Amino acid sequence: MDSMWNWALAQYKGYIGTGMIAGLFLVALVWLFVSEKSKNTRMVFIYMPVVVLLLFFCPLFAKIVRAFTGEEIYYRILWLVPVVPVLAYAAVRLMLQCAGKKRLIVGAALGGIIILSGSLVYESPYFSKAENGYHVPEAAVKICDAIEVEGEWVKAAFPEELIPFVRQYSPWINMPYGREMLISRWSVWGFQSELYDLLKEETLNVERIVELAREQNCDYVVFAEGKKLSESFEAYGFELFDVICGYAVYADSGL
Amino acid sequence: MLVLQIGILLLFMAAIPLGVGAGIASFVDGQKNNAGFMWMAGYLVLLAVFQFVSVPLVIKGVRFSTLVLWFVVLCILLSVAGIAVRLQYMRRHPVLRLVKEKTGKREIILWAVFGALLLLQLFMAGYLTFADGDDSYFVTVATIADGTDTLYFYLPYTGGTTSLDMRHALAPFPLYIAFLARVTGLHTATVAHIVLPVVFIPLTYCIYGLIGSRLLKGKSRQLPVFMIFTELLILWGNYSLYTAETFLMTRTRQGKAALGNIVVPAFFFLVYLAGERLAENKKVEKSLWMLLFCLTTFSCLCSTFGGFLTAVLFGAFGLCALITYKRWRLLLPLVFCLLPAAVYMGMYMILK
Repeated sequence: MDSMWNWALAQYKGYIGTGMIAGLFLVALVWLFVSEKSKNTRMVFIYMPVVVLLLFFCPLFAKIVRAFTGEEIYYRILWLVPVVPVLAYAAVRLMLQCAGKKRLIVGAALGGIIILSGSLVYESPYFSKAENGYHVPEAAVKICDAIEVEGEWVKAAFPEELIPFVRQYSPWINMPYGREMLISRWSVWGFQSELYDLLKEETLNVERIVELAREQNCDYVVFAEGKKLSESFEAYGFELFDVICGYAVYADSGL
Repeated sequence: MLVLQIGILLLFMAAIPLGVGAGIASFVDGQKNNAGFMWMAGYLVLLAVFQFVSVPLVIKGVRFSTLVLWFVVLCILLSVAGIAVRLQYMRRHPVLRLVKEKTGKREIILWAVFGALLLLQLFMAGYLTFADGDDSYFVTVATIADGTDTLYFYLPYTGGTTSLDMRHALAPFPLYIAFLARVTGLHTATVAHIVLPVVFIPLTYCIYGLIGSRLLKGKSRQLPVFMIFTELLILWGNYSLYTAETFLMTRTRQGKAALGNIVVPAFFFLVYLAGERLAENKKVEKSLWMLLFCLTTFSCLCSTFGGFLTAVLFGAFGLCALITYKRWRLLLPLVFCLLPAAVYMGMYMILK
């Protein structure tokens, strides 16, 4: 049971980041517990979050939930703690204790504390400027448009950076491997592809790539234009279909 | 064409939910003329209905067009029914013009600040893109449904046919994206990455606004301040990758984001309303229980874990309400509200 408690604690620590907002929340909760008069507000925004937090840290509860759902989503129990409304309400109440210009200063100070304690979402490194109205890389859109034959299945091997986006844009393009390749821990379930590995190499082993592409019924092979080739694709019956947004698209002329 | 598409979006994401919600609001004390409540209530009902309709159709393996047809018809019927109920209510209760407090200059400025920050968030939702691997499952499921007119028939990651994946088929939120794409003619990727954030982010703030209006009852002039703090907490809520606030701003198109940012706040708002009734020694309105029932169903649409999370919430509420108000009669409607979660979790256990 000790280990389950430690596990839940580790999940909590991972969730709260620096812990500054969680600290503010706990302070707000205690302050509201002491000062809030409304029975209903106390029930919904003080007692209920406490019950949820107690459940979250309960080793037996954690053990049962983990057994059914695995380790990855236990943190979502913490979504049931209403951090945003409790903190916003506590901030407004604190402001109301002051009058005139003092209220404005307290409000600005509280806003500043929130900003300093949290982390601006737009600073996330996973954000980038959208290249189009689909929010998928323009290269994926243009390559799909070029090779797609509406109503018919086309199969193409793509480089890793385009894999997540191809089928978000076109359902008609199949791939010999998919997102499974991008998550290393999934390899324990047998998600491996030699073709994927070969297309990641700096120098492409053309003979083997062509052999695997044909084995897996690929109509096209796509890779970044600058890659070195061990031999020419043409020697093995593939021809350069087009170069699109910096990607060479080779088609199997034997099909 | 774009004007028509925006018009259809407004119809399905604003007018129809408002129509449905207007009928329900007629039965909820204190919310009868609250457009925000109507919008939220309409959404809870419509997405619950979407779950009720889509799961059997997915299991049956019909075409996606059949689901679209069913849901369009139900949307129209429900909104017409909602408007009819509303008109009847208005005939019985002639509206006395509400004497509203005059909005002060300070309030106008604060609401303008809130509005400007909200507009910034909506602009950023279109201008920036967030690379999330899960999109290659959820958005692709929507793209396949709309493009091939099938339901969970093809493998999202690679293509090729597959047997029904019950875990995901019981929480078919991506089909709602596909539905919006089909009725508007927009690409599913556009609906997922731009349309949903532009609608769901304001919907989330609308629900927080409803919560704030109850918490600050009698101090409504402070509501814009509450809303600005809410915005700051959401915008600076990325203190880890896992917070509900991060999910709202980065993965709005995934069902789990709707779970954390629409279902959970709506739950707190609805039980707060229920608690207000209990505190006044009044019976909780049936319409509130019905909305909580819809909320549970909606949570199952969002994620297979959704039913469990709402069960935890209902358990926490039940325990706290029993201790606070000592009303054992609450147990029966609470169990009723949890039925959808029990049914979908049971189906998962049996069919997986």
